[in-house]
Amino acid sequence: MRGKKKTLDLMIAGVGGQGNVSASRIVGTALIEAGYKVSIGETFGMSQRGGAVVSHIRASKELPPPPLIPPMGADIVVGLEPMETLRTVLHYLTPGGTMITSVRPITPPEVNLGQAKYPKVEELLEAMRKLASKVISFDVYELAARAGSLQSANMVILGALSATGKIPCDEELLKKTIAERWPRAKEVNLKAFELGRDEALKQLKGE
Amino acid sequence: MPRHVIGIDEPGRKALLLGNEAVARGVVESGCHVAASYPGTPASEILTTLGLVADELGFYAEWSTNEMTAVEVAIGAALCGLRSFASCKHLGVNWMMDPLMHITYFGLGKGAMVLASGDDPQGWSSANEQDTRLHGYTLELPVLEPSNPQEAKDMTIEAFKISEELHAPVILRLVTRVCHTSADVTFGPIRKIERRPVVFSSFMDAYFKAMMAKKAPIPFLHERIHRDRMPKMREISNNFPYNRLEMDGDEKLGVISTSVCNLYVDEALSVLGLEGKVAHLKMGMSNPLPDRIIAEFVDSLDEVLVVEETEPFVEHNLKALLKDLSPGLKLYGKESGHIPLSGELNTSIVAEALAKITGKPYSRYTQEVSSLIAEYEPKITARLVTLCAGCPHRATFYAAKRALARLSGGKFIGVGDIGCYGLGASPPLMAFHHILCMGGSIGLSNGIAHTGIDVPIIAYIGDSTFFHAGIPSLIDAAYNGAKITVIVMDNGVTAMTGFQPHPATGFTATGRPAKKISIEEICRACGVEFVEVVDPYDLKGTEETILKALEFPGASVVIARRLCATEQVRRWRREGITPKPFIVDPEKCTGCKLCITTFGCPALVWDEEERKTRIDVTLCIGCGVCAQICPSNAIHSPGGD
Repeated sequence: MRGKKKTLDLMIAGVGGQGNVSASRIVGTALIEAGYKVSIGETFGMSQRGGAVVSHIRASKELPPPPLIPPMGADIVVGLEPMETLRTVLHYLTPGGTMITSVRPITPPEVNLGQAKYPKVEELLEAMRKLASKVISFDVYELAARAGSLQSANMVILGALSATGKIPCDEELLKKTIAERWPRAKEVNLKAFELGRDEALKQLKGE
Repeated sequence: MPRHVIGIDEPGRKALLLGNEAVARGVVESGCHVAASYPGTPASEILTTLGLVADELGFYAEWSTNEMTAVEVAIGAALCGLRSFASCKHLGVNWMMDPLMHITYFGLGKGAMVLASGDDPQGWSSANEQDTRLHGYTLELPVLEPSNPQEAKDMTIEAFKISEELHAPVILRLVTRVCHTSADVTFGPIRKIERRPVVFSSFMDAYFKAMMAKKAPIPFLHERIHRDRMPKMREISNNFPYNRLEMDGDEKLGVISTSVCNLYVDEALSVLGLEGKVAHLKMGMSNPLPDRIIAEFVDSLDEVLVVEETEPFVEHNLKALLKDLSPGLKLYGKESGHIPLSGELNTSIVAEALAKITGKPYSRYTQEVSSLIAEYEPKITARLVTLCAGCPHRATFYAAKRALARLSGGKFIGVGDIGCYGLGASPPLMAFHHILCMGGSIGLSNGIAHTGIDVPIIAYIGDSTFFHAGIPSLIDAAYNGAKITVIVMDNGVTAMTGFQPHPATGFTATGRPAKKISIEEICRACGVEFVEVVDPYDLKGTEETILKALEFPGASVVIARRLCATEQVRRWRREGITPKPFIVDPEKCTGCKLCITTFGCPALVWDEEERKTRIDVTLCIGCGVCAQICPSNAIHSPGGD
């Protein structure tokens, strides 16, 4: 038995250094401007040192939401690294929820050392397909490189997120927030955003 | 335009603020004059943010050398009649305890002082789950516990008012999920209080009062706390606007929670469909407990669940109250096993406790999701944190291990310290055996040396940590003749907590130029006769110098100096420079894998199919250290060097 859900819950998964926290603050800022109460739970004590980083973004028209999304509570999960996406999706995605993932692995040190094995990306995607209504997947770094900077991988994923139409703020507001946050990198970031959006739209239409 | 949004005086404005930034805004809205801190996760961003706006708003902010000196700055300013603020992580409060334990007896006179502690349930960025509320109890000072960033700002303002009323410091007890949660915060007006410092004499006044009353001064002052301050504190708690009762009067079950747990309880009640059926006392001030509110709360209830992180602090104090108020009441919490005794809480944990009490069904996962987790979870590997690509510490550890291999066949005892370089304990570096506390690397090494053990002893301590707590034990080493080698891992910033400046960086918390304090001069002044500086990116030179230091017949220091790689990339980015990753020549790479198994930079990736190393261009910063390690000269710069 579960009570009625009062929040929109989005998670961004990745590895420290991928820009996950910046991306979540863009969504949060835009949602506040769209009239929501917002809370973003993040752990970034060690985030720049290659650990797994997950942001819990919660929006509500009523009370301030608690900082962590309960298990199976995320309406949307987006991931910048495929194994990290699955780690989050398994525990948090509402069955039938929306998800987007990058397919380029970032190998953990223990895998390089031969102490652990990185799963096949296809196997990760297969697990995601069992939980999500639709899996949008592509290499964020390929699109970021095309936009002009590998640093813009997080903007690629925001563009794709916007294309799903599942977050209650329009694309222009997100783009405006990005442009204001990093005025000098505006062009590259918006180009990355658009490449991500176009790729996601293409995959959504391809059903 | 201010350097941070918290500097904008626009009441009613909404901004997405980190809990720590919200506290900083609260400090600004309170008209605080002096703020001091030492960085520590999860509380660091409070002073970072204050430092950005201090000059333009006209108050003073500093990064102090450690938490003790920070709180002394705040106490000194408050004694002069100003409003002052200090912040730190929970463990920093231990350093503050000596000055605080005294000022709580003497009082602050006309000034006001707020201390914010960032507690870290779950130890996300700490090696223990210390609960500052117990320090508040020992200090006999009020403890406030905001549940979200908005409350963090608003309760900072309340804390200053309470401090002024009591003439004593007030503790704002934050937790990671408040410090590091971002949320919409609505601004109030920025208060401007004229800075009018006065000459004070509270210490002697207190003594004279005791002597005039013909009493022993210390018990007299302690009694004064119990007689005067405690009843006032209790009254403040009973009237505190953030100690809120939510009940109709016909409930039989109630929940008492504090801090972020207030929100978990709300959501758990909603998930279980129990909204409006369970009474809820949300507490924003937990020391002392609001006895009258609690009496009203338990009056009609049969059962109460206490939800708090991390010690059963409210639970124990509530039990003491219940003995007279309602001895028959059934109390659930940590001691009954409904709430875990350690770790961070969340909505699910609270829902499980409430389900157990009420008999409502609840499970975290459906059957289907449980079986998917069981199938796929084992295939997902752990992802441990590691030193960044290009990290100079990795090169220093590697060089030291080479030196130790030559000197003693790799036998040694190593002790690390608090900072990024703590990660040097993990494979493949395994550079030391223990980490204890700030400055513990040198202190422990001294003790190990005096056992007479016949292996080299090496202590690794960061630059900021050296200033914080390394100097007294280094003096001990020189004075008492401990034969140890200290490596100062000098990466030019307080990197672990977010690249804050320290006494050797040449700039202050507000970004102004400052006197650069020289680590090597301090070491020499401490009496150490072997002090050398090396560049860790020069592996061979570093190895030779560390070997000489290890062979030196007394305490020795090697300062391994090279800017933090992540900070370097940040500075490059500001200048429009992109790093130039190195390349592995697949023709020359023999697949010996030594670069990964002995050095292990995360930019070195093992290609299982080709059985060769390749370099991840998204991570490599082009430091070139791995090129010095490769026995086949297979790694080179993009230019071919």
